[in-house]
This record gives sequence, C-alpha cells and structure tokens, in this order.
Amino acid sequence: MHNRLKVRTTEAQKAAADREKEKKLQLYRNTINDVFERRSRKEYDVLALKSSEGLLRSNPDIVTIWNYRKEILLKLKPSEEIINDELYLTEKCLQVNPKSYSAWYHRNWLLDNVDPSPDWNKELQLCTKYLKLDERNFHCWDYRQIVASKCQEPIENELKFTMEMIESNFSNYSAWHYRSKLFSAAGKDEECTKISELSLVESAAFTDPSDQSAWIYQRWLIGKLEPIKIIYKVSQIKNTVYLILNRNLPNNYKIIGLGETIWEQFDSKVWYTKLDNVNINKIQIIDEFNQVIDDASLDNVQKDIFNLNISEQLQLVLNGQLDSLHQLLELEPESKWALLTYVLLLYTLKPKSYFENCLKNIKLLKELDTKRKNYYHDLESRYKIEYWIANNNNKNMDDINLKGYGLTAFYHMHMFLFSINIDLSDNDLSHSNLNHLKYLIMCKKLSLRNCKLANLNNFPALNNLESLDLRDNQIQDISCTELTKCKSLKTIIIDNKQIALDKILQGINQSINIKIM
Amino acid sequence: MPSMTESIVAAAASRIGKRVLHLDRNDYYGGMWASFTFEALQKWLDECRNGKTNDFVKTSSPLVQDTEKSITIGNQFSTVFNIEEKWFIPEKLPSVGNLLSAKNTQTEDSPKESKDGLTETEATLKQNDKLWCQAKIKTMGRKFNLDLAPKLLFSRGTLVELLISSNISRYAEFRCVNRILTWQSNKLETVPCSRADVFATKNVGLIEKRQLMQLLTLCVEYKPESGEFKGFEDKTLKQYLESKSLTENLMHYVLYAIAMSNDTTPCMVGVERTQRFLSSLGRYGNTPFLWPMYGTGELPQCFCRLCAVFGGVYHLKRAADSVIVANNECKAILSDGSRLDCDHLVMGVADAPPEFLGSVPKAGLSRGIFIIDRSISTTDKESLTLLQFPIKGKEPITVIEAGPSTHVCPPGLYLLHMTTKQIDNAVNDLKPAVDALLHSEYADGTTIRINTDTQSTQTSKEGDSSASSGESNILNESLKPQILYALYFNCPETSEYDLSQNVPSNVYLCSGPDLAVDYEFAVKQAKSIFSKMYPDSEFLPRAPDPEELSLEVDEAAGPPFQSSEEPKEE
Repeated sequence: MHNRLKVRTTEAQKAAADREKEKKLQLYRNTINDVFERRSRKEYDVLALKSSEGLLRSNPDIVTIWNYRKEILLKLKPSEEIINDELYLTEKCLQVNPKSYSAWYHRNWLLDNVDPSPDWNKELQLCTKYLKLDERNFHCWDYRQIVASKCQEPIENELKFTMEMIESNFSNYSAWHYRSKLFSAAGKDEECTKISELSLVESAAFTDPSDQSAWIYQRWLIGKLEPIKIIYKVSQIKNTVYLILNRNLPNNYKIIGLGETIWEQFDSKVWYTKLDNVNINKIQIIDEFNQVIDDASLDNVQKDIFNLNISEQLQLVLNGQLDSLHQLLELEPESKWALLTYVLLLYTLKPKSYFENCLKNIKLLKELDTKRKNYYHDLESRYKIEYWIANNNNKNMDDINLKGYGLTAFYHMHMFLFSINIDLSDNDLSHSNLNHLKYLIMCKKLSLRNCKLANLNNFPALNNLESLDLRDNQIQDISCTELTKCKSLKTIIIDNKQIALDKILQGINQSINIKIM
Repeated sequence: MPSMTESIVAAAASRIGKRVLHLDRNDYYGGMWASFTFEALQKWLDECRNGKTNDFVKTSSPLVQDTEKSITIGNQFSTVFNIEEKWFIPEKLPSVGNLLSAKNTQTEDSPKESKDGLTETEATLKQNDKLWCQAKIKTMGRKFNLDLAPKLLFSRGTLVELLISSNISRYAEFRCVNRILTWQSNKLETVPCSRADVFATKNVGLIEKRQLMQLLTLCVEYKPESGEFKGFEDKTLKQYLESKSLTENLMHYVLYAIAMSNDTTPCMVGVERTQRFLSSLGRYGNTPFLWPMYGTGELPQCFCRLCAVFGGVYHLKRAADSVIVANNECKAILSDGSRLDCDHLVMGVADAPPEFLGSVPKAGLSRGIFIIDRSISTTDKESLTLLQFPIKGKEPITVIEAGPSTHVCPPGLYLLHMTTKQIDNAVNDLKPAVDALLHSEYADGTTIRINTDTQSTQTSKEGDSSASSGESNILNESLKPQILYALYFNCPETSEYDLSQNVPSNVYLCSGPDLAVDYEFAVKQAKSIFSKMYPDSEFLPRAPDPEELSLEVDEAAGPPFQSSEEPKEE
C-alpha cells in the first residue's frame, strides 16, 4: 500500500501548531524590539515603515507603532505609492480587527494630514461596502460621518443609505442615531420629518416590540418637544425680583423687560435682580433673533406650565401613535417599551383622565420591569409633582402639602421658592439628593417626617428655616451636622429611635431646640 | 446512474474505504437530476422520444452460472413521457426591411430612440439586439443550465448540514433566494417572511405585522407540551389560522408561502413546515433557501467528486445490462460483456428491472421549463424567486425563477421552472400558473411586446399610475414575461412508495426527483440505504482539506512521487 491519502493525526497537528505558535511569538518579540530601536535612532525612512508593517497586521492595536508611523510619514513627504500602501495597511489591519480604534483613526489621520488629494468619495463607497458586511460596526458609522462631511455628500443620500440599512435590519442603533444626526444637521421641516420618522418607528414597534433601538429613536423624536411657556412666575420679595422658569434658560435666549438690568442666576432656572425702585410691567424672554418666546408680569402665575408645544398636525400624528400603541398593548399587554411609550405619550398629550391612566400603567411597569423599578418611581414622582403644581397654580403657594405622595425624588423644587410651610412627610426619599431642597429659601417650616431618610447628607443651607420635622426616619449619624448651616433653625423634631441625634446636635449648637416626640 | 441519492451513498461508502464503481449509461452525471445546456437538452429529448433499446439483451451467457438468474435492467428513457416542446419566437429575426414597415405602425412607442439621434435603421438594429429568435437562443445554448429537477436547499436543512459536516461544501457555490412571492387576488405579492421583511413591507398593516410576528414566533418556539395547538391535532392548519382571526392577507401568506401548505394540510404538519421554514431564515439571507450556482445538476457531481477523491471509479457511457441474482441476493452485474461482482448494488428506479419495481406507479411529476424574456415581477435588481402558486384543492405549483447571475441562462433572459403533482399531464397541470404569470402567445419578433429592457418597463409601469384600470390591465398583460421556449414533460415520483419490497436483499433502489421543493427526501433515503449497507459506520464524516492530507509512502515500493511542497510524513 503506497501513495494512499492519509489524514494527519490530531496530536501531530497540535504539536505542529504549538511549534508554529512559538516561532510566531519569537518573531513578534524580535520585530517589536527592532521597531523600538529604530524609533530611538530616529530612523524615518521607507525601511522603517516596512519594519513595523507585519507587526501591525498581526496586532493592529499597538498605538505606539502607529504613532511612529505618523512621525515617519510626516518627515518623509511620502509618494502616492507609499500613501496607498499605508491605506492598504489600515485596510488589512481592519480585517484583522474591525474594531481597532487605532487603525480607524490612523486611516482618517492619513487622509487628513498626509494625502495631498484624499479621495473621500472612495472612502464613502468603502464605508458602504463595509457596512453591508458588518452593519453594526459603530467605528465604521463614526468614520462614515466624518467622510460624508468631508466629501459633502448630500444629506438626502445619507438618509437614503441609513434607510436601506434599517430596512435590512432595524435593530441598528448606529443607523437610527445617524438619522437623528442628519435631521439635526438638516434642520428642515422638522414636523414633516417627525411624522414620517414616527411611522417608521411604529412599523418597527409592531414587528418586534422588544427591540429597543427604534423605541430609543422614537424617544429622541418625541423628546425634542418643549413646553410652550418658559416663565413660571415673576415675584418680588423686598427689593429682589425673582424670575422662575420651567426649564434651564437656553444659552441663546435673553431676559428683557427691566431696562438695562443685569440678571443674576441662582441657577439657570431661577434668575434674580435687585432693584431699588421697582416698577415692572412685563418681563420677556427673547431668542437669538429677538423673537419673544414668552412673557409675564409680576405675580401673574402662568397656567399650563407643563403643556408642550405641539402643532396641530403633530398632535394628530401623536394621537395616531397613541391609538396604535393602544392597539399594540391589546396584543402585547406586557411589552415594556410599548407601555412606557404609552405613558410618555399620554403625559405629553394629556387627554382626559390621562393622569390616572399614567399612574395605573406606571404601576404595571414597576411589576413588569422590576430592575428599573426606581426609574418608574422617579417618573411617577415627577408626574405627581407637576400635576400638583399645575392644579394648585392659582392657590396660595405659601403652604405646600405633598404628604404621602409616594415621592422618591424631588422635581421642580424651584417652583416652591416662595413657599413658607412645606410638608413632604410620608414619602420615600431615601435615594434622593437632599440638595434639591436648596431652592426652598423662604421656607420656615419643613416636614420630612417618615421619609425613610438614613442621613442628611447634602442638606442645603436654608437660611429662613426655623422648624424641621425629622420624626420616623433612621438618621443616626453625624450627617445631621449639615443642619447647622441653617442659621435660623430653632426647632428640630425627632423621635425616640433617633435619640443619638440629640447628643450630636447639642454638642454642636446648643441654641437649637430638639423636641423628642 | 449517479443521481442524487446514489451519489450520496457512493460518496459515503467511498469515504469509509469501500470500493465503489459508478456506472452511468449517459455521458453526463446526474440522470434525472442533471442540468443541461440547451444543446444537451435537445439530445436528451431526442433520446427520450425515441427510447433507447438495450443492445445487450442476452438470455444466456457463459458468465452466468446455472444457479443464477440474469435480470435485464430497465430503460430510463421510457420513464419520461408527455413531452411537449414549443417555441414562441421565430426561427430567425425578420429582416431589417420587414421591421421597418412594421415599425411605422408603432412610431408612438419608440420616440425616445429617434430622439437619441439614431437613424431609423440604427434604431431598428438596436431594437433587434433586444429581440429573440430561436437561432439566437441556440447560439447561446452553452450559457444555459437547464435543470431536470430544480430544487432549493433549506439553509438549515439536512443537505446544507451534510455539505458542511462532510466538507463537501467547498465543491459548490450557492446563491440565496431573495424573495418569496405568492399569487393572491390575481396578482403577485412579495411575502414578508423575515423580521426585516415584516418591518419594511407596505402590504400589511401595523396590527397585521404584530399578528404575523406573533404567529411566527409561536411556531418557532412551539414545543409539544406548550398546548398552543390543543384541539387542532386532527384539524387543518387553515382551521387553526382561522381561529386566530387573522386577516385574509395574512392567512394567505402563512398558509401558502410560509407553511408551504394548502387548504387540507393538517395543522401539526403545517406547524412543522413553518418551523422548518423559519429556522432556516437569516442564516445566509432573508429567505430560508439556497440555490446552487450553475443549476442543481452540480450537487450530485459534488458527491461524485468526493467519492472519486477517496478512490471511487466512474465510468460514464457504460450501462449495467443485467443484474445477476441467486438466493435473493445480487451476486454481480453484467456490463459490456463483463461480469462485475459486488457486495451491494445501488440503483435508481429508472434503471431498475420491472421485476424490482413491483407496483411502483409511473405517474408522478408534471414539469415545465420556460425560457422567458424578463422576470415575472421586475425590480431594479435581479431576483431569485420561489413562488408556491396555490391551486384550490390541489397541490400548489412550485415555481422557481432564476436569472443570469446564477449562470443558468444568458444575460437578458430568465429561467422559470414549474413542478407540481401530476393529475392529468404537464401541460394541463401547469396551465393555471402559465396563464397567470406568462404571456404565451406567439411573438413574431416585430411587436413592441418584446422589450426586455427592465428599466424601461419599470418606467412605463410607474408612469401609468394615472391611467384607467382597464388600460393598466392591458399594460400588466404586456409586462408579463414572454415565453420564448417551453418544455413540458412528466416523470415518475416514487418517494411515497416502499422500494425495498421486491428487490434482492443487497439491492437498494433510489427514488428519482420527488415533489418537495427541497432535498430532505434524497438525503434521508441515502442515509437509510447507507445504514442498511454498513450499519456500524459513520455517515460521511468530515473530509480533510487538501492541506491536511499527506501521502503515505511505502518506501519499498519504488521511488515515490515527490514534489517540493509535499509535507513530510510524521
């Protein structure tokens, strides 16, 4: 029997593979030493380029070596051939590791800094080809954004490309994200865009409601909506005029209405100015084109402060979305994303009995998606506080009663800037940041009774605070010394279990009257 | 005859070191599974029409002992019948002069060409390029690979898995079928069958999208203990779908295209088919199917090649003349005056002596092969299409359309294959699909009908949106592909019959092409034959790659063949 085909045994194969590996390792070590020596000798020639090529092709992530190549290329004044070789090298490296940050960067750097006539159009075609093979490589998507702007590819074409990619697999964050970037850049006819984009999202939602990518894009589309109004209230206390906004004042907006007054900011939602002789007619907020965005006169509380600016056309579309979500939920009552979006849309559009509906669905979400329970608690807190503010607008805001609202976080505390008596008892504020209370500068009496507080970290300096109720919490530690910052504080009410506080506080400031009840 | 099942068995036997001799009376591989050039198809048809007599019929021979009985082999060509061949285009194109006069009547339709600055004669010649005649098809005959048994591979089907696990896949190339069509309300529609399709389709509404995805997910995740199909075990799939209150649209997609079923398919069979369909999705593309480049005739040849690599011997144009049997056991075959002893004999039904076949029916498949001038549903890219054309109360007609990029036909043409269960004869059985999809009037080559420019037909389609419905119907008619050439025939379908009943103990009969769209049956049969022949051996273990092979050299046996790259023996 001779010249018969024989299959190599696996042991033999393994031994051969091991030998091969050892040889490769030795070669790798020798080459890397060689390249570093060349760099220290400041060798900037073609030979030096060649010496590190093999190394990068086996490991494209040695940043130092890429940097050495950059040095060489800058010194060398390379020919077209060398540039093409270098481009080819990055291409080969990306085949080894398609997610090599350094290889992608080097390619971009090369075209930007060395190539005298970079062919960005070719790069764009390469990106297209590449993304067809590996649709979710965000490195390539990022690179494409750079390339498309370099060759001034029309936005329409890029939108078309993202659409093709989304049609072949809509679970593609990069593609949706790029669309959002393109629309932002185009800045044209936003409503029309929103309408057609929302219908895409709808299609994705009904195809696979558990895929997040389209829902997140939808969030971007809807989240761009802003309240109609921006001024919540203008009030004067003594010789200070306070301007309370419902959101941060955008950088390109300006406050006008009191002559040359310079407004100072407490933060970007609360502005104030000190005047000796006040005679306010109207305060206006204008944008960069001097268009009046909102105006208000003194002590005139604005209604519907949280209502969003939605055109009639968009209102129709969003109502359509709400209906289709309703249908989707009938088919998929436990789809988390559908439920959450339903809640967000309900709250955006505020149809009849939206509030009860929101709360009911948030409750369901907490049960379905226990890992994000706290997120839903906070969302609920925000809705409840906003609802309270919207419904108590015309009333006297001196007394605020949010007792037992199940709040887990503070929202819009700056709208309680002028309130004197604030009851936040029977809430769960164990995870919230007490620093949000910093806005309560007029507050004299504050109740944080039974709020599951374990400490008073970040409690702000409230200069008018006289009485603080801390009963039924678990505060035991030294964090209560924060309270000494409140200069007017006279009475702190604690319970038997927090008796340790008594001692700590007494040790620091004896003028505070600690009541144990 | 090395057709699909036999080739797989031969490769498997050769792979485990058995000596395999493969005889084929034809001068091509594949038998009823072959792919032909146009010329070879004509030759095959001639042989089928004329029949082939067995020249070597000898009742007594010195090679046959007294205790043995010689049984004459069957005649493969007598199994193909009802052959109907028809041209729909002239033998030669009309001369330029004829064309010119014909053109005067249709100047309205060709203003573009005149505007291009071409003289009328030039325009005519240009037009002529797009016209087809028999002579032109024949000169391009070598660019055709016309399949006798067109089939698709499920991407996760047994054949694909076998090609991969046995390492035979390197002998073949494939293309993904890229759309599944269906025929509904008298028009072709693309069936959304993958997640991406469901997302992108405009044919179904939002609620339908969810219902469809829900149903498909249900079928994919179905386990017998789930109870979802409780109460439907003895009902049809259609009844189940009706219970889900799906829209008519969805019902149609699921029942006919995805479950590949009909009104009478039992529920659980349909669920199983749906599972099979869906589990093959997304492996290589957005449909579950692969199509072999250069036609399905490539596949038996892949297995033959492996068989030969491991020492199998092939002899084409040599037939077995008779089988020598003693004590219900095949001892040898007689071929070309020689006696060839064998342990096992594997043969196709077409070659089997009538004694072996028993009551195997001769009727079975109705086949149609059509050369057409454009796709049945044009898009901007070339498509590879599967359509299960539903026929009320009967098996559907399986339609496969392949274009030039799969190297089965020259550029500008498409091949359309139709297969269905034989009820009457191929022409009548396939008529509903032919009438619905194709333009089957004779085209004399002068009318505007023959305009294969896909782009221009597209434009006119779009431009016609404002036309009245009557006009658009006429237009749709003119958008249908023109049949240039049609071939119909019938051949047996034996997949449902037990072929082991009337054969000697070591003789194994293999079915010809079966009705199903895939290769599941052939692979299953090959595996079963192999396990009967060699019960303890592995079926097609992975074949080594060339670089894993080394030649085992017997030093004493003279100077070995030495090449510089030959790996050293370990």
